[in-house]
Amino acid sequence: MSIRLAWLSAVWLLALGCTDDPVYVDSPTAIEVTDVAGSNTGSLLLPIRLEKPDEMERRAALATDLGVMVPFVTRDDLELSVEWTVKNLSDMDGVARVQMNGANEWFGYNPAVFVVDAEDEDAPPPLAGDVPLEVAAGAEVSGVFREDELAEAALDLELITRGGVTPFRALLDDDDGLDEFDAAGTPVPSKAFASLVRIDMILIADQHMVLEYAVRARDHRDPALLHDDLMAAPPEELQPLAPAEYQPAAP
Amino acid sequence: MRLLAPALLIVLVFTGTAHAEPRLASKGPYSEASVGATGFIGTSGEYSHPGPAFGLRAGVDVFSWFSLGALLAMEVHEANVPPPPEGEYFQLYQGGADGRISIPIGWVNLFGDGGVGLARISTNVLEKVDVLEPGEHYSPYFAAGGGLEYQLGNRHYASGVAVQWQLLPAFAASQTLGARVYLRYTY
Repeated sequence: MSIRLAWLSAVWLLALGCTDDPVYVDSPTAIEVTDVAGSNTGSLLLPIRLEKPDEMERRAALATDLGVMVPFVTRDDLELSVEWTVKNLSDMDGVARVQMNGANEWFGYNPAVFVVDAEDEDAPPPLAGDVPLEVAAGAEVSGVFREDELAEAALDLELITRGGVTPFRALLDDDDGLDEFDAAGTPVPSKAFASLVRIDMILIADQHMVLEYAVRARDHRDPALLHDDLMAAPPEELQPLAPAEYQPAAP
Repeated sequence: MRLLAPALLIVLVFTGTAHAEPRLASKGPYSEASVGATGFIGTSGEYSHPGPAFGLRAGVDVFSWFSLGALLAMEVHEANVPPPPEGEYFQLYQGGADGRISIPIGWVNLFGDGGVGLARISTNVLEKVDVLEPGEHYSPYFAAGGGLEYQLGNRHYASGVAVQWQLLPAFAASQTLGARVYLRYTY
């Protein structure tokens, strides 16, 4: 009996082990800063497969029920993290900052568009990152934006865009336990929170440096949202996602 | 070398008893649980660290010298690819069938085994170093190995040590080499 139980447990554990295994999506290109005190940006749009008709119907029914837009890729579907490495290619010690912004399937976040008077105002912070890093000549430094940071970033983006909250308030408050937010008088529940689908990485450096990054995704949707072939997937098999850059209302 | 010394000691202990009378041993259906360590060798060995391996076997002794079995196994490895990512782990799950030929020497069975099956790798982290193709998760595997089995005083129980080499053709012909200790129960 105990032997049979051990076998059943083993089969169950093996089956469990196969669920939600992480997938790594490498950045298509490295981000390089060659100028002193320069910056450069790179983006990675996640290879999301096409939405199936039954998923579309369910999403439309939920949107009607809730009275709000419901994304195809929800925050509950994907747990994302970003692993990055900065390499100092120069022969001088330097300081680098790695910032992360991004977009859900509707809106992208660009802090610069919130600046009305460039002389008197600082741009709001990025969705994640911006910590100064000392990188010795020829050395490399690695880091990670964790799953909880990206979940928070996705919610912050929702608050800024659909919620109409200022970026400073959204980004500086800890909204981790938020179950819903208000979108023009209509509550948006957590099951309608949009996931990030595009990761924008920014490297700011005072020496010649390169930033490489990879997105680690745990996909909870069945069937999986990420295309099996990832970045090698044919474009016609990918969901056409073209988030617009969010523009705040004029003051 | 650290692994070799205990293995040689076990061989010496077992061979020292080889002239003893054979012990009574059950023959028939059996179950086996094993723990050990496995590492990729060759080119793929650069991209992962050795890790723990766990296995469950069940089968039947067709003859006193030959048995057939089925296997479920899992290995855990830390990937060692150029960062990013860094410090990530992957698992290798295996299911297959194997056959084993034994030569009894006293209380000890010297055996050789071989098997085939299907392996699944849990992530695509090795895609970056071309061990995997995009979307590739499965490979057939071919295994060969051998070891020593010691028949315990209870006729149902035996324990042993074994080594195994594996070839995973679809994962850029990766090879693994592992060692395990196991406990076998024969009904």
